[in-house]
Amino acid sequence: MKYSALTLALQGLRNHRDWRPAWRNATPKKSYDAIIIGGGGHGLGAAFYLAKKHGIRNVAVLEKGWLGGGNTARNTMTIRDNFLYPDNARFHHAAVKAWHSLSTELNFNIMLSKRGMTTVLMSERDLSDAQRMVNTTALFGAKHRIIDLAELQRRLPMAVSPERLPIVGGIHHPDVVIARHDAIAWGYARAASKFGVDIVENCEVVDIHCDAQGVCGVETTQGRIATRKLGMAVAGHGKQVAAMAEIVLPIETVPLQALVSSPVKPVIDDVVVLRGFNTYFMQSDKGELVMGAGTDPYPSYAQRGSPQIPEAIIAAILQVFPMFERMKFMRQWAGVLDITYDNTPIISKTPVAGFYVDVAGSGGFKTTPLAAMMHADLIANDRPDPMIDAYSLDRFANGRLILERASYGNR
Amino acid sequence: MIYIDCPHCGERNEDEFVYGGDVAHRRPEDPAALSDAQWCNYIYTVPNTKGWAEEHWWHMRGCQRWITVHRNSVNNELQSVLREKGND
Amino acid sequence: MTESLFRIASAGRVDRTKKLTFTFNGRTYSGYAGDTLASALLANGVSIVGRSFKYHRPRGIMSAGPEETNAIVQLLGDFDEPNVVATMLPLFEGLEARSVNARPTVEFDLGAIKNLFHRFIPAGFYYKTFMWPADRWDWYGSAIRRVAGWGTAPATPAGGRYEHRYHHCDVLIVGAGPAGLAAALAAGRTGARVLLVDNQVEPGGSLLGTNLVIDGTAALQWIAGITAELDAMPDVVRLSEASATGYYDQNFLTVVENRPDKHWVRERLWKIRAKQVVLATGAIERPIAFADNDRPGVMLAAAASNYCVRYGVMPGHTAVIFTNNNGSYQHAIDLVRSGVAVATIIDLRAQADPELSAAAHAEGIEILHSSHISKVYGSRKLRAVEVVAKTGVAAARRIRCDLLAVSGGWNPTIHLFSQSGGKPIYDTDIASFVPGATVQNQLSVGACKGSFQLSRCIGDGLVAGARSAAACGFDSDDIAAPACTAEASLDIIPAWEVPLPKPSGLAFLDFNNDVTTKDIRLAVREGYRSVELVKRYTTAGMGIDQGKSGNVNIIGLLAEITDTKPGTVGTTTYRPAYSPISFGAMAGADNGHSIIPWRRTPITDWFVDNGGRLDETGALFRRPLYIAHAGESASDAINREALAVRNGVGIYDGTPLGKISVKGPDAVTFLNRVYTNAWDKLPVGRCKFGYMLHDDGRLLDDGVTFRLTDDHYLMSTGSGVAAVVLKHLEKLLHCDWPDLDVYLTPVSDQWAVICVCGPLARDVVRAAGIDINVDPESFRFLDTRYCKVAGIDARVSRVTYTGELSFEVVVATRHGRNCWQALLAAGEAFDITPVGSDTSMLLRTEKAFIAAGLEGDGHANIYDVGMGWVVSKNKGDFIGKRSTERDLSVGGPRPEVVGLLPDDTEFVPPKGSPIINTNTDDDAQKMIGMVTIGFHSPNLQRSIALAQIRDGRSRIGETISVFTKQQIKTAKICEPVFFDPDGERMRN
Repeated sequence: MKYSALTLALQGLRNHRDWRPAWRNATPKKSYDAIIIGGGGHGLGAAFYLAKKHGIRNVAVLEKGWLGGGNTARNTMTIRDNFLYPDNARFHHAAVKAWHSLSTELNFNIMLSKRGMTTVLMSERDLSDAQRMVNTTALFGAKHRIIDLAELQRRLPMAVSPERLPIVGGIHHPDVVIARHDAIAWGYARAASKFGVDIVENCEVVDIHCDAQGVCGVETTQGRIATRKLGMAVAGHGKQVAAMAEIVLPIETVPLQALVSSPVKPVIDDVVVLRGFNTYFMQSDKGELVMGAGTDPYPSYAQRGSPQIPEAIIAAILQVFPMFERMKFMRQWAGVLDITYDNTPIISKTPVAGFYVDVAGSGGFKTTPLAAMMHADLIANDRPDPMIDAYSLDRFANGRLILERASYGNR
Repeated sequence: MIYIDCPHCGERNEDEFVYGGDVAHRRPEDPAALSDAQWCNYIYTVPNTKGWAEEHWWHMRGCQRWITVHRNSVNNELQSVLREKGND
Repeated sequence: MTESLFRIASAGRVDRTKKLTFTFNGRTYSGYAGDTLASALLANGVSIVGRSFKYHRPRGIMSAGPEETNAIVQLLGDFDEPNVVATMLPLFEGLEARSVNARPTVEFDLGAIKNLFHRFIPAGFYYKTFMWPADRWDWYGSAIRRVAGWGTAPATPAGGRYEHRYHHCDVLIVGAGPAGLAAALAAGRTGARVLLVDNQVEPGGSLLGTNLVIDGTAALQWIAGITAELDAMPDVVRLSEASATGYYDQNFLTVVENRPDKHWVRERLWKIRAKQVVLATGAIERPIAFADNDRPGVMLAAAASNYCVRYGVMPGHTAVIFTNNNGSYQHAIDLVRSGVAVATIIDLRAQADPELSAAAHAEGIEILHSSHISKVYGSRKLRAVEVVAKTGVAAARRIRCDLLAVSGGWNPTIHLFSQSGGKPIYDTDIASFVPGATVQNQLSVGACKGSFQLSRCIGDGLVAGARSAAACGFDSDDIAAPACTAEASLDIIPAWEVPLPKPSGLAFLDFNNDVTTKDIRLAVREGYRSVELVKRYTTAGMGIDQGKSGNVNIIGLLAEITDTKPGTVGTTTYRPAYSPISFGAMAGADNGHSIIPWRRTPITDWFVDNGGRLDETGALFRRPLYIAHAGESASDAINREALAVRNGVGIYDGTPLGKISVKGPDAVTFLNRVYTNAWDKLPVGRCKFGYMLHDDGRLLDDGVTFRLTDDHYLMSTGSGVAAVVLKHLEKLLHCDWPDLDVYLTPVSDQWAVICVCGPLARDVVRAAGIDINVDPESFRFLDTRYCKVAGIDARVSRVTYTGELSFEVVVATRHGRNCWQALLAAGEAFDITPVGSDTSMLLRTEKAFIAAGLEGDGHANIYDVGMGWVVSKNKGDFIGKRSTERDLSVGGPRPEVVGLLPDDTEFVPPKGSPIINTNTDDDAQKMIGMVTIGFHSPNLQRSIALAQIRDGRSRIGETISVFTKQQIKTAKICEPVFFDPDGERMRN
């Protein structure tokens, strides 16, 4: 049934009894033209684009738990493109654009909100770094713009210059958007399912089978399934899954924590980045302040929060927004990210023919549609689009890394 | 907030320490003997152990000694904490 | 004022001698000390306290604890605060509060119109609509945002004080109910260090709201006895109004103590490390889903009796009880004894405990078995209920009442247990989740473990307290458990919902987010079957109460709908915080200047007093970018300073430089392994520039290392990376090269470093008074000597960061300011000019000295930045060597550092500007490099820049294009040195 105000109204009169499952909960067949491991935004998206753009519809998505239960469920919804190096700047700028038509394309409202982002700069050094980012990325059409104190004050009238780190200016990132994180998984699942893609929940891949020609199937908790094309889009356990095909992925698994306040009426539209404190926050449509910072300082697979990170984040926010003193911290959580040495994704073929990976997005929610599209294209054509040439696994053998973290934003 | 029993200082909160990598990720004895690919593999690929691993930690805000911590990366459980050889 | 109709004469623990006046929604009321805002509102007959989130239905007080989901208010006045739970807010004189989420008033809320349209806005409706026109969600979203949210964020800071306190103890006990008090007593008597925390204003927990008897006396006396004994123990600390909010790794818990002293600290966040933890967090009563179960006047049964017994307030005059377990019978009896007329107990079960039934009958209460509520009359205030038999044979009956006390059973408060890493398991005896296996040094006792009988709570508490203390090495004699009122078992039959009389009815599961039984069914119908998906699709359990009262009902109903067991459905993850914590308490005293320490050099204050424009420069230092004269612009100041250094003399505070003492017989071997160049031949009294790499080939640091004695070197590092370098070097020594006999000592803060630089530097040093010969022949470039400068013990070196003749004067930190003043005084005759770090950056750009993070980023290696001369080919392995020897032909041209001379000498290429190939439109090929820094050089009187360009060195002499948003400008590639290419000046 098409989702629209009309069907919603009609169903309202019928007590919503005719709604059908958004996606078919399939039992796996014996064999597929392509299988995607990982039923999050990236995996479901890849299946959708395989079906829609490449006509490959005999596809299964295997999810070990519930749909969108990994990092799709645990992120801060911010979709941004402030990357310094050309390959990243180009990819992420295109990735932001790829979100825009999705609600219509999927007939599922992912609640894309064009909030924009404002970075608050608290030292000349950060301002100088910001100028570097703004000037470089302009070549790729990014609209980041340095703003002076007066404009910053207009954009964030509540912001107060902290004693210790006085505000010197800011960056406005007009293209930054937020989207309802869970909805992207559900929207892709529903749209892919309509094309005939089998979505299999509670189906964990326990082994990957290969023969002389490459991948030939997977062993799962629901039995063996044959395929010649296998895509992997998992977060937090990419290393373990790839190891089943004897591929050693150069990734490290690190928690990323976030927290929310209890909901209040709208106080702030922009996503706000406090550069000097390495902290950011925004207000969700529901009214919660959603706050985050960098990754935890040591690797862990434990999806648990620690007490000191919320304290530091909130202390930082209070420096610039002291009127939030009596707001309430309500809930914290942690996702686990797979990150590479250069904090840059791997969307790549592997040494095993027919096995492709889309991993290590370093908070890959923001790139979901474009990465999924590129992953599907890679699976269908067995060669990377020029857009993802730089994200090849080869770079870890030849050293051509994109060392974003050695420069802006990762000092 | 894990609680590390520093062999030099006693039990201290995690925020006094800095993580310094997996002990199993050892620098090759003779880097010149490695191919470029092997060297890159050492540089860019860490064990990323899921479960118990021995790790280097630096007691930055304490004795400034490196120690070895036996930690389970799945639930942050800790076992033995040892001195490094260079501190004996 | 006469006593309200709802206040029970002489009952309760409120202090009737202390009358308090408060304001709610603009009207003034009174209550007593000991009331909560909720009990005081009930005492004044206020039935509607809030409006629901989505449908704006009128809501009344539902509970008496932190699980409250309806009575969420905005506190006004000095401490304007959104989303305060009225059931946990002690009343105080002058309290002002208002309802949230209602316009214009809670009595008459325009938003309530949504209730009429509820059938069109079920769970997840927004996923299905608002998609036209395309990409315009914001049109709708901004309107939806305005109606969402609860309270209002305050516009001004409250200015409260907060603090954090660390606490170590043997046994931490959470909850001062019967189980917790017993545990504290048992642990305390052993002499163990005990901390007992409780979120209520006084100890007693559930006993405060009951009339139970312990050891033949009222439970309250038992509580008072234990409390007095605990308070007399020197090693027992007891906190009230202190909510345990988080349980983290290795028994680290956070507790927020509310208003420990109103005049000093508003909230205190305790960070507790306990050897053993006893959780005695009790249980939370849960409602039952029936049509309109959210009407004002519908309340949890235990809460209703709690208001009577503890606060002396009748939540209604005529009550009906609706239950599925034995627990509510005693509550019914307590209500009657408090003066509430209890007409009927409606029991879903076919029978109840005979003794309880008899007792209820004796109080004149009618009991209807196998029956349930079918209708609730009165949308703004309960008027009556309709009851039907489960089998439907008997006709529906209408019973007048203004209070409906409901009990669907009890959910153990397993939040903290679950946060500790434990997995809850479903216990069919109580139809709820209880703690599974313990994973940390922790025990659960009492109701939070599913034990609801008082005697067992106390008995288990005593055992747990003694066991926990024994685990810490403290032993004592067993304490005999007291005799308690006998209680029947719960004997519950699960009841997540009862049938709705008509399909359009609404039965709420999550009152806070307005999630109904139909929403859960819709979610399942649409394929959102996992408990996590149901939660996310319907938002159940995601409100301010975080599902404290509603979650288990949702799980139970979901199990029923999907034909499985609640244990199989499982719970969603319990996450901190158990109760919300104010931002102020989270931040504690981390504000103003204490949030980030400000590291000062002995010269910092001089800069503050003399026009220094300070800026963050790493490692917590704030250094001057330039020192502006009155009325001078930044660029004027920088130009003046730069000209002074090249033509006269400047003085610079180099104190933030990192300094590491490297000592031991193997020091040379060590330096050879960590720097790219060779150190064997450096004589004592000389120094040398070193380049230190990461093993991946990236520049880690560059700086000068001095040989002070045979086995003692002093390494200087960049100020921002000093700690990173120390960590790197110590790791190598401790972990990789334990055989090397070398010791490192960080001495950055021990020495002040003052740099006198420029053609007249020697004259200034001489004028200040130096007791060594500083002739160019006696004191050469890269020499270092101990001497006295202006009478101060110093070490002076001929090193430079500007390319000019320089004397670096190093003195003990305590003499730094004196030395600075002495050199300034001596330099006055030479017009000595203090310079800042922006100027220094300009001067280094003229000399093309490489800066880490700019030219030396992750991509350009040591050869690319033109520093190949500093790599020794004649020594063994060093850190980073293998990476510099990789085959670099793989992957295309190298990003080489070159100079740029713009054709327009006034055009300063902005930092980061792409250098482009104008012959292609392919984005990926277009950019061939980037400007790393650009300046207008006052010494060269033209613009200059450094850049990374693909194969740049072989293109020297070519003209390239620099892209900026406004224009594309041409520039000539040149050798990356613009000034004094042979370095004559610094060697002078």
